[in-house]
Amino acid sequence: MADGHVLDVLASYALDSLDPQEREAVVAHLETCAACGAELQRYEVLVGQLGLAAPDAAPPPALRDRVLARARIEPARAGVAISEQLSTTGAGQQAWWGRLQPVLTVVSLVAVVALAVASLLLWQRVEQLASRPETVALAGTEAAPAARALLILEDADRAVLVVNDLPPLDAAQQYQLWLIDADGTRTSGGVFSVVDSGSGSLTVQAPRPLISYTALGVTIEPYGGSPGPTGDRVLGGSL
Amino acid sequence: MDLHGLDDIALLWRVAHGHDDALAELYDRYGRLVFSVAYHALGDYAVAEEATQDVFLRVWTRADQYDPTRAQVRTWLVSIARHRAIDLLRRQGSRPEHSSIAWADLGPEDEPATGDDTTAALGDLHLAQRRVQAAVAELPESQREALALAYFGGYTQREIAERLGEPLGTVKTRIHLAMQKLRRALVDIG
Repeated sequence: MADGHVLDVLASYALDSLDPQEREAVVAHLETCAACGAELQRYEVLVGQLGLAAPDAAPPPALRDRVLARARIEPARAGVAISEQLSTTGAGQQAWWGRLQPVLTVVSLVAVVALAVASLLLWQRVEQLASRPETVALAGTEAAPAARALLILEDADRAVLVVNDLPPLDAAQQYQLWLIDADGTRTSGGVFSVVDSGSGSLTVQAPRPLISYTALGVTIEPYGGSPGPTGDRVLGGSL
Repeated sequence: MDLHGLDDIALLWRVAHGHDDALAELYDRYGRLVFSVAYHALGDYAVAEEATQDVFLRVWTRADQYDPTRAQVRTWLVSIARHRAIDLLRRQGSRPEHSSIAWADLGPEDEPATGDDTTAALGDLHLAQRRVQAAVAELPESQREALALAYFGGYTQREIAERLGEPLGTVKTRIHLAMQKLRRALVDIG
């Protein structure tokens, strides 16, 4: 490590197998070196991956109930009401989605990079993304005041829509996402359903880069979708 | 309440919003994996159960700390599990007598992961597991042994060197080479 970098020992640092002295030296170096910090992150991912192949051991069935009972007596996140999560401007919040400002203007876009697990090669593609994609918050309308959603951009024309607290629909209906142009043209972004708890997600493949649209909306439509919006709008947001 | 269709990120978002049905679903998906990691490190059923409870409690209270840009949810869970297990191991002072500290072998019924597998559903946990097993199996025995002692045994490099009767420098090199190789082999599985 003639140049002062700690690349040779970062893997061991990630494994937590360094002696205290060496560990301290790495910690000190990391405070000022972004390159080693980035390298360390890659090793940390590997440390998580390696455990996937731990020999299989079956937990006792009773453990599930114990885990849940323990959680139930603990507040999920002390002092923060669920309804506040997406309605504040998020200043000072550390949650990754809480860093979003659900501001309904086009002016500033929040540079939070978020990825959907469903897309396989995203981890590799993140390294290749030249500009930082954004995440867009959608808010519920009077038709669904409790609903919240996030559109997480993975690529220029691909995103994942994640929704919470949308009322489940009957079997003849579905929710449909609309990509809205400046001139008001609506393009379908796809249809989706939610589970009983109100959560759902949708992978969106747009015909053009998503930032070329000005707004998003979700409406209630007949099952399978419609060529254009016909039902109540439940969610809306600006790009 | 059926959350089966939600992807892991959406599920974790729901956990962070205090819905314990989502925590239950997360346990159903990854509880066994977390327990397996803990048990292989700790060698004790009861302590592994404690560790597993600690992991899910941490997820319950700190789901907002998960960063989807860094790794998949399952990777994050395994990291927490290993960290907790090693922490407990070191606190209890004595180490369990493992018959072997090693990764799972590819069973005779498993085909080796091929290029075709990588284009299939890599989001599938089982396939990812086989990929890791295959990558680990490719390592030279000496590298794999040193790495296993660090990974599951929670030993420091110095302790590994003493245990194996090898120079410290040799152990350092083996671990470093092993990790480099594995990182390259597994870069695309998230």
